[in-house]
Amino acid sequence: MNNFETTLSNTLTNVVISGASNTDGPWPTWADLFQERYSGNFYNVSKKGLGNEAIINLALHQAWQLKDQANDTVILVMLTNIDKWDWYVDRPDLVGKFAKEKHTITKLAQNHCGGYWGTGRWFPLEKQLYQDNFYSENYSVRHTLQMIGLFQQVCTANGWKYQILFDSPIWSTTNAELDLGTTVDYTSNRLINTPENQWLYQSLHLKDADIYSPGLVGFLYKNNLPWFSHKYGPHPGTQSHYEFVKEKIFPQYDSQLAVRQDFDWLDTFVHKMDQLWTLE
Amino acid sequence: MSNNKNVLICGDSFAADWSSKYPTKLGWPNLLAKDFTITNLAQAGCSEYRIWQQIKSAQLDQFDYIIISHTSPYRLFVRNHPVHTKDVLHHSSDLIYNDIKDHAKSNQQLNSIVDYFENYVDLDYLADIHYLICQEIDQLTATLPVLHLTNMDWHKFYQFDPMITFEKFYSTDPTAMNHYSDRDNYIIYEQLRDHIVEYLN
Repeated sequence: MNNFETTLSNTLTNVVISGASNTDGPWPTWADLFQERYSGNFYNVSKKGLGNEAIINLALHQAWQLKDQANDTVILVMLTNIDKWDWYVDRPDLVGKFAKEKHTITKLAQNHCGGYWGTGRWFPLEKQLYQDNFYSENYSVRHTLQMIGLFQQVCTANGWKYQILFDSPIWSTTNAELDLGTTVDYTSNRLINTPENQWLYQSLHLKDADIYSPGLVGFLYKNNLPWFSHKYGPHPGTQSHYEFVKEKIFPQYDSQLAVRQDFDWLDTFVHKMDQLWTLE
Repeated sequence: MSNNKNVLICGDSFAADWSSKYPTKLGWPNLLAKDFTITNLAQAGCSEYRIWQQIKSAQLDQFDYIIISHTSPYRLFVRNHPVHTKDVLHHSSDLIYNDIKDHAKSNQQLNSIVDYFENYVDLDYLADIHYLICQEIDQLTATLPVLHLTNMDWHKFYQFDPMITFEKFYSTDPTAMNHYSDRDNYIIYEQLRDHIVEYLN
């Protein structure tokens, strides 16, 4: 179902953005370019290292905080590879322990006793034990499908406009494969074409959903644009993010949101950011 | 090998002696010190301007070989770094955009520097200044045995000869000596040692 069949109102829109490292990057990402392009009340709850459960729950929780406002709400989530998974932790000793780690606990709200321990493709401490002995790729795919179903249901029930993006072809490739920096499988859908998960994918009607399945990295790979570097792995630079948003995101929102910065300004900004970051 | 041969190293963190911070680990400059008498003036996080100052501060004719690791045009020289002044390794660092941007998340006083980088710094101007500094370095070392190094895509900048790029060896581990893995440090050490030995012979 196209979630944007209804035109957004002319009042300032609440825009909630959530994602992982390709959304919360050290350099301007698609999310930053979106915020530069449009006027709106922006709530970016992204954080590097998050898995899809945290990404979606953070977005929904933030949107819920805005529920009493008259403004329209639109939520954009950029999901990530299924082999990056979160643990919800609320034991005080563990919360304190993980607070000292490279990736800390991410709470939905400060008054929550626990939060998500999202560590990307890094499996420290107890996570290594789970990764080595209990991790299931099929379960992880299923979990992401379930989270998408939850996301769609909650957004629809509350009248929130939404868009689901992928940072890479998450149904076809894992982050471990992307880290090799060689090729990008953006067509096979091998991760959902399994007996374990095809039924759920079909029952969610995701094939009909307006989701660009190659994602950011798949788009770049298809179009021979930079998507990988030896220094930063599958985390493309600002110029690559710009090419993606110009083709896959801006056309949808240019008629829905008030444009703040034109393409001349964005061209200059992107070029500068790309130079400052690439060479460091 | 000839421990009585003097080798000067200038540059940034890709050439600096990291043993002040990680005394049990060895980067390629430390490995070279087993074969030669090393004077290492390289400073972690420094700009090309500081590298030029390093070279000018040395009695270049006292050295049998010189290695210079060049850096980005977009590092801004400062006498006192707002963050790293007391760091054992990065105390001579200059302003690097991504570094300042990261620290600005917890120190709002740095936002003015971020603002300067994003809204006022002209990259073409910095590239031109960088070119002039590189030209000066080239002139200072023109008649001396020197090898130029870089860790980045250098094709748009001043062309030194000879120059080696170790761009593909970068390690994202923050404790990796000279930003290289142990294995890559050894590969680089062997390559540089062979260059020096070939020249000295």
